[in-house]
Order: sequence, then structure tokens, then C-alpha cells
Amino acid sequence: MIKIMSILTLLCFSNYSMAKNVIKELDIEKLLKLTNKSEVHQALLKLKKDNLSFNKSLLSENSYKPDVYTYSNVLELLLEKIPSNLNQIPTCSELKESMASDYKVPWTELDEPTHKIWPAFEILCKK
Amino acid sequence: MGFRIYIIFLIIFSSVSGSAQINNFQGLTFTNTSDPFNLAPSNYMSPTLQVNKGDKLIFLTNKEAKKIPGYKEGDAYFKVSSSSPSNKRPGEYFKTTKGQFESQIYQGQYSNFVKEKFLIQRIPHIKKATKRFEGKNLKISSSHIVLNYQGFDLKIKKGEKLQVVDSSKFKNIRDYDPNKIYFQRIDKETGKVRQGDYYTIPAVDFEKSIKDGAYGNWARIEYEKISPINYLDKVKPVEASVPIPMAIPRTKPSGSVANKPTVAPTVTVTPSSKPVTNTVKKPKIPARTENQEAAYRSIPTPKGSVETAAELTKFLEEEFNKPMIECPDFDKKLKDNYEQCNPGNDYAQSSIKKLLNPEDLKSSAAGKFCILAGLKKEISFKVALCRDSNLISTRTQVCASNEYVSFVHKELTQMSDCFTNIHYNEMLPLMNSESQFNYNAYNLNSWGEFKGQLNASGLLQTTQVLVTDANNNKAYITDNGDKDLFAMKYNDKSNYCKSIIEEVKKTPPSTKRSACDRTGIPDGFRKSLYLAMANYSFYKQTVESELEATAKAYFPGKELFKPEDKEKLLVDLTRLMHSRGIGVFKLRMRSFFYDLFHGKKGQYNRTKIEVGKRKVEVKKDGKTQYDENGKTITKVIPGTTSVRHGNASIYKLWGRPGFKAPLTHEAFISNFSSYIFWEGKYGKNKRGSQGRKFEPSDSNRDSEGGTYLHKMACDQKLLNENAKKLSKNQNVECGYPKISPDRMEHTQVEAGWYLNVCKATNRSVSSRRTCSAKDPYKATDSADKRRLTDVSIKQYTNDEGLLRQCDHESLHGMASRPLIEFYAPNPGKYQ
Repeated sequence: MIKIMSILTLLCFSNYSMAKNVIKELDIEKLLKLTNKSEVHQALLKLKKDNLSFNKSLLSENSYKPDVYTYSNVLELLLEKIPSNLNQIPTCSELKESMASDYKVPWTELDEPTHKIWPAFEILCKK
Repeated sequence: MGFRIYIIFLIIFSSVSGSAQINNFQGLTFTNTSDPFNLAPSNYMSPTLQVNKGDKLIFLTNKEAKKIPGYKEGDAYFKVSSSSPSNKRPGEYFKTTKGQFESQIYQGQYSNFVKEKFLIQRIPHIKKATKRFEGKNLKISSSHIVLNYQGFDLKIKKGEKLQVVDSSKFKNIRDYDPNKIYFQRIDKETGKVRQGDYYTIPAVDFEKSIKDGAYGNWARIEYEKISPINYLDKVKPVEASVPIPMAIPRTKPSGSVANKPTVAPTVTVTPSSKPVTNTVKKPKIPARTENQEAAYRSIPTPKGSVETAAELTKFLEEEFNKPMIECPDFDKKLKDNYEQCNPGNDYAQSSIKKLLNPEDLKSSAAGKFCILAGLKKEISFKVALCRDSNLISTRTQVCASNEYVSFVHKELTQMSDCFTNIHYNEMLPLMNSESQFNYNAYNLNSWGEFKGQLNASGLLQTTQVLVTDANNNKAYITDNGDKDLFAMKYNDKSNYCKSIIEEVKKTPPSTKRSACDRTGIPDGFRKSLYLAMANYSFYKQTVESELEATAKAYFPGKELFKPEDKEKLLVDLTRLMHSRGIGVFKLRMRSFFYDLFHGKKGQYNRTKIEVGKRKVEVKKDGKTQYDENGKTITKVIPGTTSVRHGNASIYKLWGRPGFKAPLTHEAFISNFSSYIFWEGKYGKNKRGSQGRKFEPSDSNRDSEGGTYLHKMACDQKLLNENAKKLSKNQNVECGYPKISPDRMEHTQVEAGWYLNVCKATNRSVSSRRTCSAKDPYKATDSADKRRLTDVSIKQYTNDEGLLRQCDHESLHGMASRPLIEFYAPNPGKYQ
């Protein structure tokens, strides 16, 4: 949680290209190193929970961090795709189409961290 | 009803053991004696009701209200009798929050007499609640408060301290008035109480000043902790020993109805031309005055007779229990307008006939005119004509026969009933915009890896994703699915619903992208309709949850949106979500409020400028410009916090006369649509970290999202007009929410302005958009004369042809204008 917060906080002081570099250092990177399906699932669920708290804390802060806030919102919507019960996860192509459909744009045009986190999703959705 | 006269009675008096008793307000009839206002329907699905001057409301008792589905503790429920035929809504209950009702009473909506009556009942509660301030010092933090000193009103200015007089001193006060709060002033020099001088304020005004924060947040918060939020619930019968400062002629209740709470007294009054306002100046003197008596009176009818309130109540009840409007001549009008099929368009007839009962064909529901009106308008999309499951793409619409219209009406009604948060009426405009009630409408994907393949089809344009989800048994198919999502709001009593849910579970629709599979009657058609409606129901819950979370985050414990407008907002925002996608909607909605409430807390970014061969990081604060050496120069340039997402300067919008809490439906929709427009097409809204500004003509603005609801308003108005023509009945109404006449006028003027001026006088898309961004009501020509005359405006308002030409381009200006000052580099040029 603290790591996410610190990284996300950094985002607000950097422009978007800088932000992309910072994202690489995010916990998502560590999460991406996991290969065990169950571990990835648990890590994503934890990220989901932490991100929700972080999102809430942004609203109570006396600050304006629109990039960070948007990033956190995109992440929240992405992680909503991960069900608590792993058996309910759709196939990868269905998941991809559903994510793109949420924004009605091609997959390639989705905001980060969509593509960044996708490999972790892929571990779960590959049948 | 026109020939009847009603007494405005409000309070019931009865003799109980020789003492007068004032009942609480539940069960009583109220008459609107002031401006029109809106009430939300109790089921949140029917249209909002406009309560006009002279309309009557029965305020239901809690016991009665609890029987209404979806009853909420904090809401006040009503039966309403309107004098306008188009506003008669028998069988429907309406509601507002008790706080809102209380505030209406307080503001004199139901006459000053009622206001006083209400306030007086509150006084003991206020006194009890304010007891904790006794003996304490309060510092005035508003500009001033007005106190009475020896009969004179005095302004006590900000910064002064007052001490609330302790009850132990009341006996020392001459002519002590229990309906007032007494103060003593604190001497500025000595900091001590000035002895002997008492200043007063009516208890209700004291309460109001506390709530308004006149003594700072501390007092307000303290008061709210102990004061009942809804007096309507707390006000109980008050014994006659409490001074009643009213001179109402107490008469014996009439006969057998004496003890019924909904029965008013038999009071004989002389009709008066208007209610008279009066205030209670001397609460202790129960003298009868002409003014107070006049406040009892209703607006007279020409006949001038007087009825008892018991009769009034009876009449209201009878009216309430009348069946829904179904005109006897609808049957003939429908028959006159059904289409005679021909071999080219009768392709659905044989499948449909098998699914209908004779009653379905005979029903002459008003909604059938809406479906007919939609079908009779030429389509601009393709429809699927299937022969042996082979698709023939055509623009030949299905025959608008009695069978087809009855079939669509029946399926829509039944399917809407499957979801407790959806009403048939709210689906009509969406269905009209999506398919004009053509069951076989379809479109192809214009983006992504499935480009050129089937995207959506059917009455509500069910998408492939929904079909995929159905196959995965997702939450909107069964509540046993993903527990992270909302529980679906199913109507588990309907057999139709049970069977369709079972059917979708047992044999989900084919995942093959086939328009024929999806629209085949009845299976494909029904499953698609179910999925689209289930998805809509889910979206509606999502929107509700977003609105609640927003209000909680920024306005805890208070209304961010006008209570009576909430359902209209829900419906419109769900439509926006349907159009833009759940992801885009959530991001825009959240960042809109984030910008409003956090924008001013922004930190300015830093930027890099090239100095020779190296880059120097400098502060880019929007106010100070740097030269190439990184040195400050004095030129002040306009700007805002530079960000990629959102627009920090929008915070300036908040609190303006048209945009402050509680937000109205109209204000929010107008500004939020504009926000969607300016924030741009998703994936193409890369404003960069430098926060560029845009011209309204910029092609990456989201003109479709920004104009979606405005265009739907045109479509709905046209549908309505055509349905009225077909039925020759002005009361037929297609869809909820009803578009306000004001918004409709603006939308039509907008389309007229674009088509007759901007398009006619400009060649390029860009210059047309620049023109349309100017306010049609204010735009001037080179001679500084108003471009549109009042005559033209009136002409556009009445021009139905403009409704047919409403499209995203003609409404572009309407989407851009509300927030143009925050986004355009030179907003002045659009004024």
C-alpha cells in the first residue's frame, strides 16, 4: 500500500512520459514476476483492496493530483474484472474484449496501467 | 373537479377531554399555494410530477407509506390530485425527502398559515435542543445577525460575542416569551456580560441561524447532534397548555369521521381570491384575525360552494383509485394507423402471431402509439432479414402491423417488469434512439480486432460482450455469480422472468457473431432483450452507487443533488453509460467532481525549456512566463494547473447561481455533458502534461458523448409529437424523464442556429463549429446587432422539422458552451 502510494504520489509531480517510467518501478512490476496462478490472484486481489483505500484517501487529501487519481480509477476498473472466485474468470480473449468494451475503443488505446498489468491477468485467464 | 371547491384545511382540531390537540401533519391534505414544484414518483420509475398552484397533496401516514414498495424511512409520501388533466396520475404515489418537505413548509409553499403552524409545533423541540447552549458564549461568524432589543431590530455584527441566557434567569425577565431565545451581549472591552440587557430572537430563527453557520461550525455541528433531523416525524400531538398563537375557529368534527386522522374539520369559510400572508407577531394572544382565517382558504372556483374536507379526502381517494388512462377511442385510432403488410415486409408476421393472445391484439394501451410512432419514422441503419438463418442486409423495415406492435409492447412491458429498478417508460426513449423499435436492427464493429463483424443488434443493441458474459454465467445472469458485483434487482414473482432467466442459463445465446441468431423470434430476440435490460439494470445500480459515493465523499450528510431530480439523473446518466461505456463514464464522472472540489488545491507543474544545448527545469505556474535563459519575465499569462487528466480551473464553476448544491438535473446534465465533450474521445484525449487548451472545433472532442442526451431529447420530443398526432390525444406521453419545455426550446433553437446560420454561412466543418459555439441567443453580427431575432427564435422553437435534423453536429455548440470558458484558449471570441 505504502509503495503504491509513494509511486502514485510521484506521478503527480511528473509528466506523463516520466510517469510511465515510474510505473515500471511500481509493485505491479513485482507482481508480474509471480508465476503461480494462485499467488498472482491473491496479489491482484490485494492490489485491488489497497488501491480502493488509496483512491479514497486521495479524495480526503487537500491536494489536486488528477493524473494519480485517474490512474487509480483505471486500475480500480481493471481489477474489478478479477473475480474473488478464480473459477469465474473468463477466457483471455473475452477478458480483453470486455476491457476494451468498457471504453468502446480498441485494446491498444486503453489507458495505463492496462497493458502493463495484462501479463498478470493472462496468467489467470489462460485455460 | 373543476366545479368543486375545496377548503384548504391543514390542521385537525378535535376536543379530547376538553383540551385542544394539534395532530401531527401525517394524513393531512396540503394545497400548493405557491409556485409549481416537482415530486418524484415513489417507484422512481414513472415521470416526475409537476405540482401546480392549487394542486392538493395528501401526506400519507407512516403506516400507509410503509406499504409502498421501496419505502424509505426518511421520505415523505403523497397522493396528489392535480387540476390539470395532463397531470392526473391516479394510482401513483409521489415522494420527496422529509427534510425537503419540511423546508417547503418552512418556506411557505403551502401558505404562511401552515408555515406558522409547523414552526410553532417545532418550538418546544427547538427549545429543548438549544438548551445546551444556555449560559454559553457564541461568537457571530457570519456578517451579522438580527436581534430584537426592546422592540427594535438590531444588527449585531460579525465578531461580537453573545451569551445565551440561562433558564434560571427567565423568571427575572419581564414578559418572558417562551417562543424566543434570549441573549446578553458580551462587552468587547471587559469580556463580561452586559447585565440587564436582553436581546431576543424567535426560536425558529435561532435554529435557522445555527444551521446556516452564523455562530460557526461548532454550534452547527453541536446542534445537529441533538436536534431531530425530521420534525415531521418528531412533531407529536401537543397539549393545549402550550400556548397556541392561532385564532382558528374550533368546530366539532363532523360525525363518524371525527377521529380519523385523514379527516379535516368542517369549517365554513368565505372563499377569498388569494391566500393572505401573515406572521405571528404576538404568539400569546389567541385573537382571531381576518388574515389568519383567510389563510385557510383555497383558491375559489367559479361556483363558490364549500365542501367539507372529508368530502375532499373522499374525492381524492376516488381519483387516486381510477384506472390508468386508456381512452375508449384508442382502439380505433390504433387500427387506423397499423400498417397493412406486403410480401416485402411481412417477414416477422408468422413467428409473431404464434406468440400473441387475442387480448394482446385488443389492448389499446397508450404505449402502443409510441412504438408505432417510432416505427413510422424512416430508419438510417440496417436491419437483418433472415432466410434460413442467412442474413440479407436491408433497409426494409418490419411491417408495423397490429401483431408486431402488440408483440413489442407485450415483450417490453414484461421484460421491464423483470427488473425492479427499471420501468417501461424509461426504456422507450433509449429503445427509440437505438432501434426505433425494429427488433432486427444491427450494426457492425467499427474498431478493434472484430472490426467489420457484428457488434450489436436488437431493440437495445445487445453487444457481443453481453452474449459472452451470458455464456460465462456472469452476475447479471444469476445472483449466484460474482459476489463482487451488485445483486440483480429481479422481480422473482413473474413467471415470464423466471422462464427467461432459466432459459438463458440453460441455453445461453450462441457466441457466434450472427445477427440472425440474435434477432430470431422468439428465442434470440428474447435473450438479447433480456441481456440488454439486465445490463441496463446493472448500469443503473452502478450509477446510483457512483452518485452516492460522490455525495458521501464531497457532501457527507447533505444533499448533493435535488432529491426530486435524482431519478431523472439516474436515468439520464445510465443512458450516458450505455452510450460511452462503463469505464469512460466512471472516469469522467469521478474526474468531473474531483476537478470541481480539488481543482483549486492544484500545484503547478514544472516544465523543461531549452537553454542552448541544455534543458532547464522551471516552474510553469501559468502566471509567470520565462525567457529562454530560464529567467523570469514579468508577463502574466492566463493558465491553469497543467495536467493530463481533468481541468483544474473547473472548480470556479462550483457555487455559481446555476450550479450549486443541491444540484438540479438540468444543471448537472448540461455541465457534465459539456465536460464529457471537452475531455475528449477516450484514447485520444492526450492533452499532455502541459494541459493544452482546445478550440471547440477540435475533432478530438467527444461530440457524440457531449450531445448524446441532447439528441435523445430531440428524438423523444419527436416521438411524443408523432404519438400525439397518431392518437389525436395530447395526454399520450412517450418516455421518462419528460424533457423540460425550457431545455427543449434551447435544443431546438440550437439546431436552428446551426442549420440556418452556421451551416448556411460557413463552408468548413471547423468554421461551422466555431460559429455554433457562440450563444445563439446573444451572438451578434458585424454591425453589433443580434443575429437571431426573437421571431426566429420563436420560429425555431415551433419548427418540428428541426427535431428531425438534430444530430451530433447540429448540437455541437450546445455541448461545448457550458464549459467553454475553462477550455477554450480565447473564450471571449465565442460570446
